[in-house]
Amino acid sequence: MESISSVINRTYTRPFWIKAEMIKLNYYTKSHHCYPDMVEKEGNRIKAQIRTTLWSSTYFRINANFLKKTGKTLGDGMNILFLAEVKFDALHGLSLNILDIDADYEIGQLAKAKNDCIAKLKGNKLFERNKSLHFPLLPKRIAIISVNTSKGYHDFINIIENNTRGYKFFYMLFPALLQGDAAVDSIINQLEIIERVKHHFDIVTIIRGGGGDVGLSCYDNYDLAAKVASFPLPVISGIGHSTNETVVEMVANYNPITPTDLAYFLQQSFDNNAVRIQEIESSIKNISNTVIQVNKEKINGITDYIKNKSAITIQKENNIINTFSNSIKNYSKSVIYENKNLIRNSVKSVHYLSKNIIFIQKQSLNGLKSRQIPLLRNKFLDEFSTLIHISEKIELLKPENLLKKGYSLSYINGRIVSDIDNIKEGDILTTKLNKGEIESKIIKTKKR
Amino acid sequence: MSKEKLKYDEAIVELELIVKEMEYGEISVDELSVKIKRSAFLIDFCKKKLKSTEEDVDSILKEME
Repeated sequence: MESISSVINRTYTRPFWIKAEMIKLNYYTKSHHCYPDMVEKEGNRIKAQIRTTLWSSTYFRINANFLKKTGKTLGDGMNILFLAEVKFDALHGLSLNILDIDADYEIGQLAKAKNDCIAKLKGNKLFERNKSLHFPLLPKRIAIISVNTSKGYHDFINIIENNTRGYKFFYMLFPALLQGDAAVDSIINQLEIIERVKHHFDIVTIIRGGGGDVGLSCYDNYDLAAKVASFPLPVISGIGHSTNETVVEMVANYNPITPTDLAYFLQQSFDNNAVRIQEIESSIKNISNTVIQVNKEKINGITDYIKNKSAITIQKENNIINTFSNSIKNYSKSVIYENKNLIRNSVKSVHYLSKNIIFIQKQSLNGLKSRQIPLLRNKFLDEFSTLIHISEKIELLKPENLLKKGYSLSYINGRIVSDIDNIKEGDILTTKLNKGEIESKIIKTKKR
Repeated sequence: MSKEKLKYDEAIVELELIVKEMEYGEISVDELSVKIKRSAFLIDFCKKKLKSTEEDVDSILKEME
């Protein structure tokens, strides 16, 4: 044993830089010493394996530097470049005593892994997928992947809950680990849950805050980045850090970086919508007013046209009617005049003709007179002598003359007696003579 | 389109289409009144969307079970 020990000590007089994969850190919480298991792989096959020692004081120094430079602490499964001295102990056998771990190598490793991850996402056509999703106009229903104790989460909620404009967001927390290697599965798990109820949400936010730049390498993990990239809803990241953008942030639909910026971004979206609605409203109002005004003017134009046209037409018709009326008047006058003349002439003719007729009749009457009068005179004289004769006879028959000759008239009760009928005995008979009357009583009547 | 099925994005798109039609197209007074009615409904719908929510955490939790 001593011989082996002296050979090793003589051969490995100074420390060596060794590349290996630290499968397990084997950190002891009580002593703070670590006993990392180192392997060298060829593909998946382990080519070499050795137990190493990392004393607590060295561990604290390396770990602090490592965290500062890479943003992550020493952990299982890391490919590292470490400085170690070979130790042989008769009791514990061969081991490597770790003196330093190269953080720059780790940075290179991480950068390479990150580049590989990006290349793989691009190769699988995932890199732009979430970015190409239509971001809703109103990101109102928010699935939040965060943790209730996170400052970032509370900052975010505080802003969207207490906006002064009264916008109403709906949000639901899906709690997950947000840093360290375990975050990968935790976040993926919550994304899967959200996917099942995705119709209730417009966007997914990943919110982390107050954790500094430590433990962010999980966001460069291919599985997580691929899950985010292929998620059916837009994913907005508010992981909050000052170092380079992680792959998850690169593939996210939008990356405002900090939770507060994310909250203001959403609030701004609402503001934009409010302004947009306002603009649409006033546009519609203005256009409506213009259309109504244009139509009013059109109607007024038409009304004026009709008015003018009517006035002109009426004037025209009036003129035509006046012309007609004048023509009719003149024509009537001339017709009346003509007829008057005709009547006058007719009257004249009638007058003349009548005169002529009368004259002719007079003439013929005169002719007749000269021929007929002598005849008529003789006839008249004959008739006249006959009449004288008759009148003489009549004169002789007058009662006075008859009374003078001795005839008398008898009356009873004022009536002349010409018959024996109706004369009763005792009646008073008045007898009229030429120069007086006799009254006598009827004693007897004798009928012949 | 019923009120339940209408989505905010669709409402905004429809509103902007109405504005575009009104801006660039000859629009009759009859069409105008129809469009004003529709846009008033859509504007009201959008404004309400900004300031209210219909989602309920309990029903989502039930759906996840």
